[in-house]
Amino acid sequence: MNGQPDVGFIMQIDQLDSGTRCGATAHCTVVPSATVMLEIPADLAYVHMLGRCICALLENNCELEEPDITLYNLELAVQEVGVNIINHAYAHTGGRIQLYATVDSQSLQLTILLHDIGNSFDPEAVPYPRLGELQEHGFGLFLVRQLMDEVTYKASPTGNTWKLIKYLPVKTIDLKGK
Amino acid sequence: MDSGFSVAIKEDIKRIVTIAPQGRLDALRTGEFRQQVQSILDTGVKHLVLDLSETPFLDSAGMAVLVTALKRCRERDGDARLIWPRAEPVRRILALTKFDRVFEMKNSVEEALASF
Repeated sequence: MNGQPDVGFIMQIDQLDSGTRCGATAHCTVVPSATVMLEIPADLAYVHMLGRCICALLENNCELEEPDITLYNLELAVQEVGVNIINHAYAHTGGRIQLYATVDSQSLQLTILLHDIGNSFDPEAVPYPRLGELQEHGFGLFLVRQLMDEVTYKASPTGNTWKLIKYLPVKTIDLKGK
Repeated sequence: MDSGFSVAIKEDIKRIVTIAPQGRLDALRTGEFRQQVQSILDTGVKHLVLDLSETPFLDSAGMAVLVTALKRCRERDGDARLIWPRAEPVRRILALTKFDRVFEMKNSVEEALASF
């Protein structure tokens, strides 16, 4: 394939971890798993699409316990990371956000990667919010950590990657192409 | 002739404004919402009812605007009430972040108005 892959094109997660950029199509591989990829402009007008993408992936493949709650929480967590990238990594100067989401039917694990090539961020520098007090900021990362089972952040010369993992509370799972 | 009788009448008018965002209250929309709240407070209003009953999605940016509104009210010796969202996921987020302790939560606008 030549040129930029379209939204439906799938890229192996481990390649992204090693620093492969989506535009480097020579390194892309179509994998037969429930993996989706979405790339959006780093703009608040588009950020809701990240969470919607996750919901769409799960709605058709999994019968979740408390689906409204689970999908909402995933959408919110991804939204918070997306807004963080826009506000901090790109500081509202534009750019792109790439999302990769994979569902593992064996472990019932949802893995979400969010990638940017903006400024790096230090999640550890964000203080835990003072719950129950009149505090305006600091809840975004708190929510991400509360709503996901694992949250890691990796900065590298080729960009920054958030990795969010959720062990899905599912009744059944049916991954097409798996 | 002075009868010695008088009646002192003090009228205390509480201006309470109800603000009910319709739709998602997220990072994209908080700028506009923040301006609307501020413009209301600038008219001298010091009591707000923030009605989230029709808010299906609330992120941390939206939550920040709610806290700002409460702060502004209290700076004016006023206060704000929050109406529980109908959406259960949003209710749980408010509980998770303990916003239900920061705000005086009410189940309806009528209940909130009566509480001032």
